[in-house]
Amino acid sequence: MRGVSVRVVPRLFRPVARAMPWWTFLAAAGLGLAIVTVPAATAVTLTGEDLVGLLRVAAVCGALGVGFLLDDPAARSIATVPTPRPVRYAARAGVILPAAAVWWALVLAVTVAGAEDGIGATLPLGGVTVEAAALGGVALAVAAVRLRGRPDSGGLLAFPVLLGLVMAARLLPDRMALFVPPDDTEWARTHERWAVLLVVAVAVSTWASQEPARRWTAVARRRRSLVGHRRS
Amino acid sequence: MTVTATGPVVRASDLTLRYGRTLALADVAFTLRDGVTGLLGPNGAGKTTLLRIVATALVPDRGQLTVLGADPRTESGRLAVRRRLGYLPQDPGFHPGFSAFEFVDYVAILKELTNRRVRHEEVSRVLTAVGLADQRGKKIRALSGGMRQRVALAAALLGDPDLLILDEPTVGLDPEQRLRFREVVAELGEGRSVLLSTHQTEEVMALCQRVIVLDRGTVRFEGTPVDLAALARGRVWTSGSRAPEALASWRAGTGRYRHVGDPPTGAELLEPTVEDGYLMLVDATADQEAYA
Amino acid sequence: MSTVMTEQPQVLPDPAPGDPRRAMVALARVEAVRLLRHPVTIAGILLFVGPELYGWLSGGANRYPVLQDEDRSKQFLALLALGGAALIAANLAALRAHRHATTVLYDTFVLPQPWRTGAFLLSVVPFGLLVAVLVAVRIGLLAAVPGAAGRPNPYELAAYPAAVLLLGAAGVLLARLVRAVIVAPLLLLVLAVVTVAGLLPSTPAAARLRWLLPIAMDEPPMPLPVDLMSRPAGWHLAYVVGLIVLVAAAALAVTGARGRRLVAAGAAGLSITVLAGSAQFFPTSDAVRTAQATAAERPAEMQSCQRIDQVTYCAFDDFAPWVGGWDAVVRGVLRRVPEAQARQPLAVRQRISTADRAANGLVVTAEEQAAAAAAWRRVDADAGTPNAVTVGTRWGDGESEIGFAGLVAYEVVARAGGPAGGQVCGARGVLVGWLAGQATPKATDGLREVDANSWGGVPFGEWQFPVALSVPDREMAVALALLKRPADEVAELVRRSWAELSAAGTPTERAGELFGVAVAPLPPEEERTVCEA
Repeated sequence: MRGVSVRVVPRLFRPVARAMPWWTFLAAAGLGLAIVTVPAATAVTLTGEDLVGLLRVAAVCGALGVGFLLDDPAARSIATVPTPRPVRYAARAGVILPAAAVWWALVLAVTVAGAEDGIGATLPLGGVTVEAAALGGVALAVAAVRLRGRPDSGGLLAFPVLLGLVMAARLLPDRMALFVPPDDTEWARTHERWAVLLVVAVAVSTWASQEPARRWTAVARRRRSLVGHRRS
Repeated sequence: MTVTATGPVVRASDLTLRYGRTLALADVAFTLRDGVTGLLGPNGAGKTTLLRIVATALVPDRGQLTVLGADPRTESGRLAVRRRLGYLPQDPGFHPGFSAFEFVDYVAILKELTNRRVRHEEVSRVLTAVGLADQRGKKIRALSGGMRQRVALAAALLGDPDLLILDEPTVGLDPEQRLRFREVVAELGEGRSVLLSTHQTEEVMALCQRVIVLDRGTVRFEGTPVDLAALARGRVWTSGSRAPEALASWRAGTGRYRHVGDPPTGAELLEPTVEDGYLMLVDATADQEAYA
Repeated sequence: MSTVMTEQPQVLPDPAPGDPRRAMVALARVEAVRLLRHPVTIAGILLFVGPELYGWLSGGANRYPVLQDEDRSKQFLALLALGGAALIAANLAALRAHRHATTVLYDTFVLPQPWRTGAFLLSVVPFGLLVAVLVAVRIGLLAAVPGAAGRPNPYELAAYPAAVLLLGAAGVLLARLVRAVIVAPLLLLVLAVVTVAGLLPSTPAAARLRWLLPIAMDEPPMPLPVDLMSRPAGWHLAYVVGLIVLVAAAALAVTGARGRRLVAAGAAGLSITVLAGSAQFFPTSDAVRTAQATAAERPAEMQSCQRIDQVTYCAFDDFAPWVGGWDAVVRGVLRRVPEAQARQPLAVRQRISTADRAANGLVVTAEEQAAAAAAWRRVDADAGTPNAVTVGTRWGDGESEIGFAGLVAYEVVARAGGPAGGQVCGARGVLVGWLAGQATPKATDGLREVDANSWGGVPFGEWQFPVALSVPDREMAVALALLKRPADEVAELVRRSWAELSAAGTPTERAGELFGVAVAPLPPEEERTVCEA
């Protein structure tokens, strides 16, 4: 039975890709790309730390855009189709992930190509990519959680939460820091934290994609008497 | 796949659901058989909540529910229900950039119609059924409200479902469209089960073999429209002036006043309608907006 | 929605003909409350207030704030947290009708669209007032600290609420231009990037462009006395106010407002923006520049001195409240040296540096540094405070205390005037390291911090000054070992062997012998540091 649902996925890519709010994502991703392109194209001399900072801002841009990609104005119409939400989300993920990956690869390529001699090779691209993936994952997780209860805009919650988290992360004390300069001795340790964040975000997204939204017989308490009073 | 004529299509008991501190449904119990059943009730009675539960879009806090012989509590049961279900939500959303055909086709994929040729035939069929065959190529953003409603109805009709759940389906339709819609639903009601919510009693009279009245989260009546009208037998009368003691009192087109409530002795009694029976059930003063 | 519907018939008779102003104010009031209660606003306020509050509660806050520095130190955070909140919340509010597809209904209302836009613009004002109160309370608390130096610039303080109002108005304008919620956060990111980019080393002319942003960040080498400040804060505030008027007028015009008054407001906003914006680029006045040069080269002319026992402290007037703090460090060093040494007169002089060496890319050679240090010694001798110990305009953190303590200790040990950044080796290095490290608890913390962040040796003194010294790791290891022992016990040994330990030629091994501490062998010839002090 389940097999039919999964076989639906490849046929969904095209309509799902058309149904997604690309405009928002493209605006955000375009800005992220512009942020790394402007210094790369001009004569500004940037250190590795500056470039990592720009990559981080670009990553936040991308995550802001990704947060809106789960939004579906037709969510109510398709709430009860046999294809369950995890499969529908999987189809979306199948469109989002390659798009985001291509965009991020472009951002990295532009940054490395525009860097001063030798700096491009020293940039910790892997670590920054983990950060970007975690930020995107958090955005998707927040959006998915918001969309659990109501067919609304997930990005509307995801973007303030993301901005707030990024700002709060900059205020964290050193022993819990998330954003450290590339030559910091704590770089590896902070990126373990980022990896954990990514895993948590994926887990939360997976959980939030499950349906239905409430638990059957979870709140079976004695409310009969209460009801009786109400009606009298 | 058709349900045997004797077995109920939906059997529900003790359905209870809270939204925070608001009790949306309290121990709702009913059974649904073949034919068209109307779910009648004032605004906020819990109609949409109940329909969403039956349509497996929402899970109650507790209660028992069997839909089309399956148990929607389990994943396999839910899937079994959804494969034989058509659902038109109260406020269906669309992708405005899609054409009517593309949108219904998209929902058809989600309804597991994976064979392209079969799917396109089915999409054409349901679009014709709702009278949108000529508009199939039009972008949804260019369609009027009534046409969009029909697009959503077409999506609900996909796959010839055994159970059709329609949440206020005639909202936004003009009288002619409404008539056509009745034809479609009446036809669908033959050999399968349709559950539609409305707060218009005329719809119930025109379409429904059975009626359920829901008020403030509880079932107040379950039976035929005739039985519902009969509740007001002997409590509808007419006179030449307003009767403040009546539950409801209005001046009819004839120029005389029509009253529902306990009649004074010697009043001129009238044959009750479904609406009168409904008024007797529902606290008229608290929910006046329902008849506004 | 239903209440609005039922109220509509009452509006129809139009009880106050031609006065949509009252309706606008009423709407603004409702929107203002919604804005203040918005989760984004609350989160922004928490981000702004939280770390500060945590600092005070945990005792980590600086007890020696420089008010002319603190007045602008949180402007960037305020721009992002508070301005960002205003931008996003005002944008969401102005887009609410569109998001919930109620524009069709709203368009039928009596209050026309421009007036509703006006209400959204006005709704940011109470948030701006709240921010002004927050900022005033913060600076008031800082000023109440006994160690507070200088005075805040009201224009810098007013920049906080001005930034909030500007971004709030921008949020409304954006909502009227683009019906997408993503644009506001993206604008905020761009602002953040551009504001930080303003800090990148560049030509002085390009660096001035940062004043065209809502918040102009700069990182001066160190705080300056109020009279020497050259930030065009007043002009910048006027520039931002002009921008606010301009943005608000644009938001109204976009929604269809017309009329002479709007044009006048727009023209006024534009002229203020242009005039004040260009006035920011006036070169620093000659008087201020002369004063800066005098303060950097011959500070004695602008300072007052006070004596505590045998120690003379000369400070810029703004920083007079810090003398007690400096004295604590000086006493912390003197109490561990022999009576005769402790009783000798000592002078401490505050210095500033106005040249941002890092920004200007200047490389200072050892000869240049030695010459500068010698010039300082001459100036001090002329001012009647020979061999004065240098102290900067930062205080209250471990790093400044250990830097100062090191210079004090070196002067007490060597009596030779400020060292020009050389290495202090041998027993002298050990002595300086220990004396400085034990001076105050904060100095001890500071030493640990500096030691952890430096290689080869531990530097003492502000790096912008020509006067500084460093103690190599080999000597520092002995000093750190001594710091683990009871101070009185070590002090006893120090007093007994003072002459030998303080002599320039005594090797480190001898100090290790005297204190009973193992000394690491000398590194191979090519890795040894040159010891000149």
